This record gives sequence, structure tokens and C-alpha cells, in this order.
Amino acid sequence: MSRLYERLSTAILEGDCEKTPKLVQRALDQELAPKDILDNGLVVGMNEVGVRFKRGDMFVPEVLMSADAMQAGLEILRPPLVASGAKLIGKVLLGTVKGDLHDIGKNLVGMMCEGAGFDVVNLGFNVDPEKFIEAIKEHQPDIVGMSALLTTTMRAMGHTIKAIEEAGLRDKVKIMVGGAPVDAAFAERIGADGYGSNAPAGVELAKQFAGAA
Amino acid sequence: MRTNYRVHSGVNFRMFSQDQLEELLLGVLHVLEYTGLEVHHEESRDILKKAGAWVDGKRVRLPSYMVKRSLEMAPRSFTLFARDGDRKHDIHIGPGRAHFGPGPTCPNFIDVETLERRPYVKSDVPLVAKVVDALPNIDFCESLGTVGDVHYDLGALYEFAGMFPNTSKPIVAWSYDQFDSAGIHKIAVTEAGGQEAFEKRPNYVHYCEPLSPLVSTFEALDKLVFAARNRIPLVFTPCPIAGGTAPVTAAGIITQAAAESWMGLTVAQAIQPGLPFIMGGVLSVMDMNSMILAYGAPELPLMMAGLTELAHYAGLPLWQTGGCTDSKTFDEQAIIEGSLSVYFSALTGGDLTHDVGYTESAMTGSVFQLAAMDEAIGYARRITRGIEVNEDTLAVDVIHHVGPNGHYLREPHTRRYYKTEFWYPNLCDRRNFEEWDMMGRTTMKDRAIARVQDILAAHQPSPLKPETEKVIREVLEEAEDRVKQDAWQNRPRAE
Amino acid sequence: MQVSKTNYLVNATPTLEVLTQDEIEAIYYSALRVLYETGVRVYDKEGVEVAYSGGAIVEDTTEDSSLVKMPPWMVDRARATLPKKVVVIGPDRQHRMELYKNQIYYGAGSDTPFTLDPYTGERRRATYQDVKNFARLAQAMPNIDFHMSLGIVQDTAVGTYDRWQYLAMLEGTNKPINITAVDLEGVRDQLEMAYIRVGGKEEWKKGPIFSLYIEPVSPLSHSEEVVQKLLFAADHDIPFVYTPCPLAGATAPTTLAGTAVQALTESLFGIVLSQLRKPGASLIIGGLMSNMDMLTTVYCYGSPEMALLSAAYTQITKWLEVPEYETAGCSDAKLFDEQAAMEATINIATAGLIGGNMIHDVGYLEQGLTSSMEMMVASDEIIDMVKRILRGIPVTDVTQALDVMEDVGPGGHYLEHDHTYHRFKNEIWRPKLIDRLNWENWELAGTKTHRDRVHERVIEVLETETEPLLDEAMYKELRRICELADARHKDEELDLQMFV
Repeated sequence: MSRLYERLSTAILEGDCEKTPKLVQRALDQELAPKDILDNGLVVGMNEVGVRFKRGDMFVPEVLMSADAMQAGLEILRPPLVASGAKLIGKVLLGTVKGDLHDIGKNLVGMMCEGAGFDVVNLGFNVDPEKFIEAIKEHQPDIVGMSALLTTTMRAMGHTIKAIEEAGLRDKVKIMVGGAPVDAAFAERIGADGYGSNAPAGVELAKQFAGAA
Repeated sequence: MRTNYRVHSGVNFRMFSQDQLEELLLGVLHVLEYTGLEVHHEESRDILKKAGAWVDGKRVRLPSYMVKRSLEMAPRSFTLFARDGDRKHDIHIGPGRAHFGPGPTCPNFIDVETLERRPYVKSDVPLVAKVVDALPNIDFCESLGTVGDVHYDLGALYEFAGMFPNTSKPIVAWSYDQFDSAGIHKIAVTEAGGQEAFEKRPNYVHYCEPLSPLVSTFEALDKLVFAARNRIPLVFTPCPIAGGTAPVTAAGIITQAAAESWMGLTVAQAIQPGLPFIMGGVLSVMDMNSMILAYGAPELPLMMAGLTELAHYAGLPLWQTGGCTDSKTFDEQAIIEGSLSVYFSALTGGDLTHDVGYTESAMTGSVFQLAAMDEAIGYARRITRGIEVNEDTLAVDVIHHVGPNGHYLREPHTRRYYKTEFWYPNLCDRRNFEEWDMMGRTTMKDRAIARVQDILAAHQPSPLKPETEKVIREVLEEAEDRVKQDAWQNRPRAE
Repeated sequence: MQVSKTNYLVNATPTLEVLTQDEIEAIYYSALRVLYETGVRVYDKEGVEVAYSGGAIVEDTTEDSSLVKMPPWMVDRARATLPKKVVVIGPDRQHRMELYKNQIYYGAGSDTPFTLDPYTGERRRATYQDVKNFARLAQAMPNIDFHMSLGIVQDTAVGTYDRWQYLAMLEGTNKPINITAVDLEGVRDQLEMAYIRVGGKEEWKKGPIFSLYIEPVSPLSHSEEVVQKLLFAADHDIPFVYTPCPLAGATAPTTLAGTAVQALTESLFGIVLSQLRKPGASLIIGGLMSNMDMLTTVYCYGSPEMALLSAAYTQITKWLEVPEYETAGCSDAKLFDEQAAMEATINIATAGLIGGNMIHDVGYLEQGLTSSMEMMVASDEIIDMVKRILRGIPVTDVTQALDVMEDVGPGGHYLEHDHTYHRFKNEIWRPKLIDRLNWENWELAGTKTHRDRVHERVIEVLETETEPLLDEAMYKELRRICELADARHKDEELDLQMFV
């Protein structure tokens, strides 16, 4: 049993998009619980990826390949997981705020969150507060992440949080912010729940919020 | 597909034009033919005279055909071999390839534990060699210091005896006289498996230094003759000081240095045609306020670059200088000066660059400076690798596929190239502020110190053959005996 | 008698090439293909129209943008009117930048959110006073030829910080300035301020006193604000820097050659659009081109790839005959330490060797997020050292000194020879912050590190009173523009101090 989980987490570590779904299927065929497959196989693998990345032993493209493998495995696992009533890891809504066209950092957060097993909805760039609110209503995320690269567009983060408050949705989501000119003090001032200094930190924060860390 | 496509493999740096190099070369020949040098070694004078030189007392002048013939005979490329047969430590000297290593003879050393400056001692030698062995961008070994706690005539021997077991990278050995040279040679030859084996695959280089201006000293030639007879690759390199022992102008000091080297070249080729010969050496200015030879001056890389190109034009490899500083401490100045000279050494492809790790104007050797310079060399080497421009790297299809507002992080193209296209530092920190803050706010100095200490704790150089260990002990014993005797104290020096 | 030498071709300075002409052309023709086949996305209707009227293909139009493709002949036509030389001067006409092939000028970098406090070393957000101080520092540095803010002013209103920033810079320096602008209105206001500073619009024509920094987004994306600024600059004879900041591996191909292709495509779009709008519009192309560090995800400012890629791009601009915006004097270190010293030394040397024109970002740390006065002052001296090397080695009868060698002879010395006496001041570079004392004297002087001495010099400059560059009346007039801008933007501000 545990051998299969080990092989699964290794497949994730190696970024193997072919083996991972096969192994997930095999685990399901052996009637292992979907939640166990998720927690003991896939998530263990991705956690190890995170550890190695932090240590400087894994490169971003390798991490993303692992994230791909994770998503490939989840594709097989999601229906049985939902059917078994188990909670998915969580849903993250991401966007670069109004007036800002930079989104590589946010995209990296999105890919790494997917790697961690989150469902990610990426609204792109230049997203005004109304669009954020619409998307919260439509997708019902657990976490909302906002990104900005300019001090002039950082304001839009404050405006967006205010708008979410006024729409009565503030307590339904955890809000995290990031972007080069952002810092923890700023995040606090505008009423965000957290700040991530880079993509991996953002993922950790998301995990914390989702109670999965 | 595209044809008629010429590319730079690497980058292309030029200090001089071809015309300037010709002018310089002819100037050197002029000095050797019309001014000449003082040669304080009777045997050498005899050899030169027989080969066609004009000898007038100690003043020797060389007709230019003699010099040109010697230049012809000396090889432009040759290999220095790792003593343990590990190919990755071999040094292939040839056009466009820059190699780096420490220098010898600093009287002081930065203690690896206390970080204090103190006299250099015997037990420092193995440490330096070990660090050299472990650092990826350091290619050859010198000890960084003069051993202060042994008999003053035996420092060189103890250095070699301390370096040789602790690194398999080629060593550049210096000596006081040909007795030292003989002892060193015996050790190296034992490891190589005999003199013949050594000649086929030399595992060390012999260093000699004449005096500026224009004096070939007894010691320098005595050792040169020994090296030539035993076919030991030879560095013959003056250390002129612009404004002091050489003209203050760069073109002048380059010319003089070359003349000083080529006198040795001519003797060496007369004894052993085809002897691998590396001209040199340490060119810089005298600081007119503090009167020191400024190892960190911008003139050093400037003049070294010029001399390198002259050497290559004449068909010889060059013994360069770089990675050194006038700073008294491991600080930003040490790195600015060291990086500047390292960078130009890399740009000129100037064959063996020594004195990496020198601080305080060659008064103090530092393995921390050496470790930091290892990083600078890696950095410089990434630049001199240049940019590959071909259909795959131009990536037009990839750009098209990704399109406006896309990204490349997941592209197979990225996966193929990200490891080789980018240099990944060992000592440079690229974290963001928050992480750097959390991990202790280290400076590069902190990280260099940690790296050296890690190496010293963990690195194992490859061992010597047992018979070589034995020979080392014998050589040292014999040398200790030798210097105790009266005949030694009273031996003749100059001729 | 020594007759003078003829038929003698010399390197008056050292030369560096990273690419051959064939390689430059390979990149250029690839960029032409991308511009024609892939196109760029343009978020400004006016810009799209200008391109369309000029012969571009416009397709895939959405609510806010269109895909614009330009055939090669449009680029050829634009190149015919593209100025090969751009001039930017300082307002008092004491400083001048003649930007063309191989003319090198070094200068600061712009909008960093953070700065290192010169007294405490603390990393904090930048303020008006910081920007003014940096300008004063630049004014005092002999090897800084132009200035950029080295800090975003964050203790004034957010939406108008660019005007305050410009005012702070004008207070501190009369060297040429490269400005940034929040939006088109910001450009307008700063142009008004410049007219005031220089004495009117006609004076501006005699030499613009600022250039405008415009940054499209990689890959291949030109926002409304970017295009609007470009058109305005072209209309009003404002030279502008059109510079994408592609990140190899993330927003540009991982290969350096591929990044150059993409960046050139983006630059060429700017060139064509500007020349369509106004033939002869002055622009400078280039950018911060670097790699993403694949271990830390960071945008490297201190990597060898940055230096190498910028150098390659400089060669491309030389071939295209347009001035270049190079990058040097910057680092990924978080403070001015040995890493900053190493990265700055090598990238400053590279930019000078290759002949970059406006070499910016001197004083940048931490991937361009934090500015440092120590970094700027130290880099000023590094530039001086590099310039000594860039002077090259003259090989003449006088410098070869063969007769002097004959005079001095074996074993002699040169210290007292006339040849040395007449030349040493010119030949031997003199350090200011670099220290050459021997050990004993260095100990006596307090065992200072280089950083200590640099720090002392920073404080010295900051605390030295200088003549104000603006008289009271002019300052008031300039300030009025900033205040009017604030008033117009009053309602945009949040009710809290967001930054400082």
C-alpha cells in the first residue's frame, strides 16, 4: 500500500506526467480512499518539491513539471474525490489589479498553487474591482490573491479590498497580496490577510489559509 | 538554412591592432639587439654566445634572428597534467583559454579560523592546496605564502611538499635555487613514474623571476637551466614596476618585460628546443603616494591585457596576474580590484593568471579572497562564453507559440536551456529581501568564509602514491641536513 | 632623427564584440519575422490607427486591444528617418549628452520603491528628501553623466508622485534627467515644469532637458499608457527611451539570442510607430534584459547574463544606428557589500567596453527594488577605474621608450628620469576611496573598510551645503504644477497613508 504512495510521490517529484495519472488510477483500482491517495501520495510529493526548492536543490522548471504531474494526477482523482465527499484542497482566485499589465509573478503563483493541488482561477491582468467581485461570486474561492508591480497600481489593491467589503464578501475569502513593491506593512495597512514575498511564499500562505499546511 | 555564417564563439576582445602588435614586437627585438641585458650566469652566457649572441662582459645582445628562432621553437599550446590522471584537472594551454590560480610568497596569511592576519606558516600550505583543489574555477596551485617557520632557505621545498599531496591540480613551483628545484623535481617525477614519464606528462611548472630592468640574475638562470635540462615547463617572468623599474608608459613596460622574458626564452630553447615556455608576468604601476606596487590598480589589467596580446602575437602563452588587491581586508575594494583584473584576464584568454587571492599588495594571502575570486571567475567565464545565435536559440517559433502576454516558464524550449544558458552562483545571493533577512542577512564575505570552512571540513583531495610520500620525507630530511653544513652557508652566489 | 610612422592602423581604445555582424543580422531578421508573423498586441486605439494608416495589418480586435503586424518594409522606411544621434542636455547647459554609437555616459536608475537610509542603513520606502539627496549626490559624482530618481517619492500623493519626483531631482542636479511618468498627464505636467526650468518652449528646442522613460510589457504587449506616451513624446520633440524589460525564461525565451529577438521586435514597433507619427522623432532603445534566476525566481540585475545580453543588444543598436539604453552599476545584493562590488565592477566594465550610450541603473540593489547611495558613490569610482582601462595603450615612439630603456640600462631605475616625470600624472590613475596605504598606516587610520570610506563620502556630500540650483521664484512656480496636479487627483487617494 505505502509502496504505491511512495511511487506516486516519486512520480510527482520527477515531474512525470505519464506515470502519475497511471499510478493514481492503479490506486483507485486497488480501492484506496481518494483522500488518502491525495494526502499520502500526491501532496507528500509536492511537499517534498517545496522543501527541495526552498533548499535550492530544484529549479523552477522542474517544480512546474511536478505541478503538471500533480494536475495530471488530479484530473483522474477529482471525480472520485468529489464523489467521496472529501474536501478538495481549495480554490484560489488570482488577478493583477487594475491598471497593471504585469503578471508573470502572479502566473507563477498560480502554477505553483496548482502544483499544491489547488484549483486556480486566473483572471489575468488589469482586473478592476468589479471583475474581482463578479468572479468571487461566480467561483466562490477560498482565497483571493492580488498582484501589482507599480506603486500607482498598488492603490488598486486597497480599492479592491474596500469594494469586496462593501459587497459583503470580505469574510468569505482570505486575501493575500504580492508584487515587487509590496511589503508586509502595506498589506496590513490595506487590510489584507497576508503578504507573500515571492511565489513559493504565496503558495505557503495559501496552504495556511486553506488549513492544509 | 543559412550559409556564409560567421560567429563569435565566445566574445572578442582586442586591446591592440595588428599594426600595434607588430610595432611592439619589433621594439622588443630592438631592445634585445641594441641595448641588451646583463646576464649574471656564466653558463648561460656561454650557451648564448655559442648560439650566436654578442657577449661583452656581462652584457649580452641578441641578433633578432636568434630571438625569432626561439619564438618559433617554443610551443604555443601544451598540456599540464593532473598528477592523479584525472582529466578534468588537466590544463590545456592554448589560444583563447584562460586559467587561474593563486600566487606564492606572501609573508602573511589570513588565519582560516580566527580571520586574523599573521605570518604564513608551514601548516597553511595544505589548507591552501585543499581549497584550490575544491574550487571549481581555480585551475592550478600555488601556496599563497612564504613559509615562515622553517629554515629560510627551505621555504620553497616545504611549500611544494605541502601542496603536492593536497591537490591533484598542476602546481606552479618556485624555488630559491637549483637544489630546491632538484628536490621538488624528484618528488614530482616519482609521482609521475620516472623522468621519461614526467617529460611526456608534466605535472608541475617551474617558476623563475629575473630582475627588472633588464637583468637576468644568477638565481633565475640557474634554475632556468635546471628546468630546461629536465624538460620542466617553465614560467620566466619579470615583475617590473611602471615608473620605478620600468618606463611609466604601458607600451614601455610591456616592451621591457617581453625583452626580459625572451632572454630567458633564448637560453631555454638553446638547451631544450621546444621546451614549454610561458612568458610573463606582473605588470603594474608604482603608486606615487604610497610607493607600493599597486596590485589593484586599473593599470594592472590594462598592461596585462597588452602583454598578453603581444605574447600571443609572438606565439607564446602568457603568465598573467589577476584576482589580487591592495586592500588590507576582505572588503568591497578587494572584490572590485580582484574582479576587474580577473575579468580582463578572462577577456584576453591569457593563459595562466596567478596571484588570485593576494591581498594587501601581495603582503597577505587569503583563501577567502581566493574563494570570492572563484565566483568572479565563474561570472567572467559566463560572459566570455558569449551568446549562441542559431535557429534554435533565436526561438522564433517559440515566440510565435507563446505570443503576446504569454509566458515561457512551461515551454519545452525553456526546459532544454535553463540549466546551461544561465550561470548559477555559489556565493552571490539572489533571494528577495524577506528571505535574505530571515536567513541572517549574510554578506558575500560571510558566505565566502562559510564556503572555505565547508571545503576544509569536507573536501578530500586524491592521495599520492606511497612511494612519493616516502620521497617527500627523504627530500626534506636531506635538505634540512644540507643547510646545516658550513659549506652551504659559504656557497658562492652570483657569478 | 626618428621619422614619424605612417601606414599605421591603431586601436585608440580597446574593443569588444559579443556578436558578429552575421549574428546581429540573424537576430534582426528574426525580429522582422516576429513583427510580421506574430505581431504585437496594442491597447491604444490611436496607436493602432497610426500603425494601420502606415501600412500595418490589424486583426483580432477585442474590446481593448488589437493585434498589429508590420511587414518588413515598414521598418526599412522608419529606419530611414530614425535619428542616429540624440541629444539631451542639462538645464543650465553645463552638461550634455551626445548619444550615438560608442559614446558612453553613465547614470543612475529610476523608481525604486525602497532605499537604504544613508545614516541607519535601514531599508525603507523612499521619500521626497531621498530623491533630492540622490540628485545632489549625482551632481557631485564626476562620472555620473545623467540622473534618474533612484527612488519613488512615497510621502506625497500617490497618483502624482512623478511631478514631485521631478521637482526633487531639479532641486538637486542640473545634469540631464531621464524621467518616468505615471500617465500622459504626468508627462504633460513634467514638460510644463521643464519649460519653466529652461525658459520656455523655444529653449526646449535648443536641447531637451529630459528624456522620457517608456516601458512596454514583455512579451509583445504595448499598453494604452505606453502608446499614448510614445505619441505625445513624438509630437512634442521629447526624446524617449523605449525599453522593454524581458525576463529570459519567463517573459522571453530562455536563450539569450531569443530574448534579443523578442526585445528587438518590441523596440522595432516603437521605432516604426514613432517615425510614422513624426519622422525624425528621437528615441533611444534598449532595456533591462536579463534572466530569471531559476532557483529563486528573481529578476536578476547582477547576473552575467544581464551584462552579456545588454552588450549584445548594444551591438545591435550600433548596427541599426540608433542610440542605446544600457544597464550597469547594479546588483542583486541587498546591501552594498562584496557581491554588489563584484557585479557592478564587471557590468560597468562590460557596458563601457561595448560602447553603450545611456548606461543606467548605477546605484541599484536588490533587483532594482532598493537604491543605495553607497552603491552609487562606489560605482562612480569603479567607472573611473574602467575609464582608465578604456583609454587603452598608445604605442608610439614616445610610449615605447626604447631610448629611455637604453639610457637607464640594466639595473637602473626610472623614477628620476624625465620620461617618468613628465608622464606619471597622466599615466597613473589616482584613487580616492580605494585605499593604498601600507598595513601600519592603514591601522593608524582606523582599519577602515572600503564600505566605511564610501559611507563617509556619502555623508560628506549630503552634509556639504551647496548653492541652490533653483531660485525661490522658480521653485514656487514648479511646485505649483505639482500642487495643481494633486488637487486634480484628490479623490483618488485612499483615506490612509499607504506607504510612508
